[in-house]
Amino acid sequence: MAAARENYFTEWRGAQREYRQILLAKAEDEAEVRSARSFSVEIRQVVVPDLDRVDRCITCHLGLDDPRMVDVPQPFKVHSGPFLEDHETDKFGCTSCHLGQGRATSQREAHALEDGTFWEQPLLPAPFNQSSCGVCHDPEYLGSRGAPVLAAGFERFRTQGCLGCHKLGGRGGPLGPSLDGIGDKGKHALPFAHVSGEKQVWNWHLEHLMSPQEIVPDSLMPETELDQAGVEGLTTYLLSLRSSNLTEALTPRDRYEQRYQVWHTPPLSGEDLYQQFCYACHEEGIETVLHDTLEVAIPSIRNPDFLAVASREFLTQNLLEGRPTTSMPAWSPAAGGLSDEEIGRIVDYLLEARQEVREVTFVIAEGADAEAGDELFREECTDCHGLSREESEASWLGDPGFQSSYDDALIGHTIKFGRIDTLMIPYGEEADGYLSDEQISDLVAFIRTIG
Amino acid sequence: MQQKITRRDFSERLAFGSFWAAVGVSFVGMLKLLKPAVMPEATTRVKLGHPDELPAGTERYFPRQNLFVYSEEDSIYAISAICPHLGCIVQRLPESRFECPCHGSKFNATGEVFAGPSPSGLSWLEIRRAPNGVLYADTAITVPRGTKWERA
Amino acid sequence: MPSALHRFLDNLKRVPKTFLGSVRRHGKATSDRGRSQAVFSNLFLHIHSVKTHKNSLKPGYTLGFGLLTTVCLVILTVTGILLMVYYKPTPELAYKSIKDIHFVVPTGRMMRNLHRWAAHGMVVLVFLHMARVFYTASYRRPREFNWFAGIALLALTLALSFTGYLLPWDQLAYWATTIGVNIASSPRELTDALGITQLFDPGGAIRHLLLGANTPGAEALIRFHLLHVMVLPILLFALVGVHFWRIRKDGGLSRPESADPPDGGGFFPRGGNKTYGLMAIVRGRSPAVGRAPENTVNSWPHLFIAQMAIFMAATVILLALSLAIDAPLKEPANPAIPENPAKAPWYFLGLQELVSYSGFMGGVGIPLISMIGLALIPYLDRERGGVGVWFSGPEGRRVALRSAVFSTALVVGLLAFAINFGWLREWYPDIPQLVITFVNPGTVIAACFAAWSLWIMRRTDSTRMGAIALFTCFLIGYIILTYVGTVHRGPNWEFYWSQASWPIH
Repeated sequence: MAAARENYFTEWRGAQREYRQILLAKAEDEAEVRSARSFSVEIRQVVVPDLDRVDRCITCHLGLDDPRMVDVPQPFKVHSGPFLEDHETDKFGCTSCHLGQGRATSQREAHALEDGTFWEQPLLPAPFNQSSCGVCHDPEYLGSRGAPVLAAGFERFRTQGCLGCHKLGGRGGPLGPSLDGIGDKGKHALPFAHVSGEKQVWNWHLEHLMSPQEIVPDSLMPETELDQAGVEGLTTYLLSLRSSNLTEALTPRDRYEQRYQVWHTPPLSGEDLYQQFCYACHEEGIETVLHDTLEVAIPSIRNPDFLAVASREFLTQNLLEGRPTTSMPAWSPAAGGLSDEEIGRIVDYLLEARQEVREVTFVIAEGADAEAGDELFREECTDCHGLSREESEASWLGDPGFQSSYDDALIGHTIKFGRIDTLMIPYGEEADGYLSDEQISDLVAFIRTIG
Repeated sequence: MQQKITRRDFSERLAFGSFWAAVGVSFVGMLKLLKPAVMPEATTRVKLGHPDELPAGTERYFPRQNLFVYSEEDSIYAISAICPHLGCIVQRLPESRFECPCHGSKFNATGEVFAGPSPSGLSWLEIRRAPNGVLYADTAITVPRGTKWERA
Repeated sequence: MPSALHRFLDNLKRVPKTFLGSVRRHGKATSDRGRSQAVFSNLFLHIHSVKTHKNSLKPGYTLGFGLLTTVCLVILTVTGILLMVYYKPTPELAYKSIKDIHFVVPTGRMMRNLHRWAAHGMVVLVFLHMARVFYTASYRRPREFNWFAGIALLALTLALSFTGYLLPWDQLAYWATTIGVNIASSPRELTDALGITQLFDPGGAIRHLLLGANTPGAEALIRFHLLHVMVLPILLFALVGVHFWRIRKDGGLSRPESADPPDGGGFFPRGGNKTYGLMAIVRGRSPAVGRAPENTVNSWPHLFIAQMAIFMAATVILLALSLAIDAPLKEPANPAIPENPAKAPWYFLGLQELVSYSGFMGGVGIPLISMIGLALIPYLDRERGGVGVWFSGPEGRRVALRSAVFSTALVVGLLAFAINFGWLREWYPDIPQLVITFVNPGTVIAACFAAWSLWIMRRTDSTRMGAIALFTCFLIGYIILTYVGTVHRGPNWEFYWSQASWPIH
């Protein structure tokens, strides 16, 4: 009975018999006719021990490398693009790029897309199969070499500031989960409870990137405001972050170069670093950003007014230590993973937006009274700067990072003159406000007691 | 009257006895083969640090080795974070409780199970002091609940 | 006298005949006498007696369970050996070799399915066979030891099934084994509660013995493989040999007294307690047509035909199942992602339900008590009457029915209580573990069963009735617990009415 089932009723035998007919139909000379007639019906497989692949896809995908097979139905079509020229199936197998269950001999089980096929890496549909290119190659290298979606996704990743909250390779922020090996996460490692579309990993990423809170209810990740192409690109790039068993022999040249470049890296410019690590929260940095998920007002660190009185030491210290009670991480080598030179370059970049340097001339009046300052603070400031972290929509002034990097004069100056293009309006009499220097001094004294 | 035993019977008993004794001894020897002398897994020692680096009243979690270390005034102890049911990693909740996210087993502050399918509580692990003064915990050596390393 | 050369050539020509003649030590099996001789002198057929009692051939008596179990065993052995040609017992290769067996090995898919279904079948049939033997009181003298051997065979069957379950090294196998080994290490629960683990740690010893490491890995796989394909089968076959041999020595299958006419039917002298079959038939005619002394018939053909028929029927059913339904294989084993719910093989799900209340009692205590109790039945119930009759008569039937009802009500009731309201820890969070170990739904049920059977024993003044009561209670309880564990337990071992209402991950 088993013999009958195997010999008469299997899918692939039918496919191979059909293919033989196609071969016969396309035969143009005696030699081709003879080879078509001698086409044997049997299981075909590619075994690549180096990559631990046993792929039986070619049992049905028979016309893979036959350029004549253009106008035939699947599964007989020739492989699209020039990929097989550099990636022969004998050397790489099929599942190295396309995933799927190589050892299977039926379509349903080989593609493993349906429920009940119990395979963690189903066939990757286009354009997500471009993620496989990124496993071996440098994504940037591939923009015009067959993986445009991947390259676009990589570019997007580097300019949206994703590393501000996520770590990759030990560098990045701590707010979100690390992205190392995220391409390896199968269906069982991701929460699918709220996914509305197909329950596949690429769709999880698509939906999550479009609208993080819908997929992960208490997520802090803001909406990316990307279009479909953007989200597909990012998904493709994320899927490429998976483990591989590349031996030296199989590493392509561009990856080789990239690997050695790490030792002698042409340094990332300050602007590059800002885009990779800061952009997501600070955006252009000129105006205050009202963050929807973090529910705080994020300081404008490239604001000319701010930069006019911010010294290099001040900026460096803030970057190194961050603001411990807020979402601003510490970026020192031990924490966020940036080197001291890189931090220096970011500071340089920030200072490029400086338009003038002003001296901080505010002088704290003697006998500044913290109690009076308390009353004033509750009247004037608590709308935005609360007394506790939870009540503050703007910067919490009790934060240790704030307290240690701002000196009294700077605080007074900021209260007096405010910051252009932000919500911090000037309060000093001599500016457009109404508080005297003594009152401001009282405020400063009180502010020192917060936290 | 004393029953005599013939030489023949005696030597028969001696022969059989020594045969069975030999079988028994070799059997016991063979049984020893079954218990491995070394476990084929990566090292289970975890460096905790010098006792001074673990001041009283602190709690540290080692995510890679899955253990919690508690420091008190005069002792230090370690509790495994691996749920005995299926090996999931328990989560630390407020009020000194642990809960396993996989099947809901709940454990109290000393690791005893009080709800869920876990067959037993969280293991307490042995802490030893190396000659250079540094403390090491060993995730392969369990000690009875309540065994703590005493500060000198 | 022809020359030596002639004789030599002659002998050469006749080799096929003389060879066959030397193998067979009896005449051709074309007459009753020849057939009887064949059964008697052939090593393999000799397992059977030359004559079989008519009662043993009645389908409604044994229901063929013992034979069906043996059929499953044969199929398992044959398919098992075939599977061993391709299966590779290392974590890197095990799963892949099973995929290859399924997809590319010629008839591999069928063989694997057969192996799986025969395994399930054997476990079910072994329980049914035990129930049949119990309810027909066939464990009475002189068959007590055969019953004991049967219980040992039950344990071996379950062990074989369990060790085989791990071999595919998929998620199902890996996590079921993790639970199984954790259950086996549960003596720790008791030694910890008593504080003696440092000195005496059977739980840890079992764990290391089974796993060869601290967690399931390559060592565990090889050990389970060795147990499954060599150690346990050798023990099983040895014990099966003893089991069959005892059937012969104890006088064939049990039968009721009514199966033998009191005076030998007037044709034959009273049989007495003969333990061997007649080897030859007296030539000539006798007035007893179609009947032999002691109400027996010739094994060849009657018994053999029946056996072959059952063998073919069982094989057909198993083949049909194997064609239709594939043996399951989930994703490759991944220690980082536990299955939720992670369930032991179905025959252990009743135990797993009990384990969810107390690891030690559910995993070690109650199974041990049950096994010991089962083994002791023939030594505790030594009454004489009622052998060979289902339930030993109408009173037994009543006791069985009432025990079934009692057991159902008790188990369902107690489970419903525990599921709805929780157990002691819900109200006394600091209660010592030792109390839970000894007072939990499992132990309460077992204690109630014991009380019930003691009560029946007193009321009916019969150890047999007490045994029927206890056995029935446990059997029904086991079935209900297995059902609940299979159907109604979902993720986090929470209660669900059906799988449809499980939360999506």
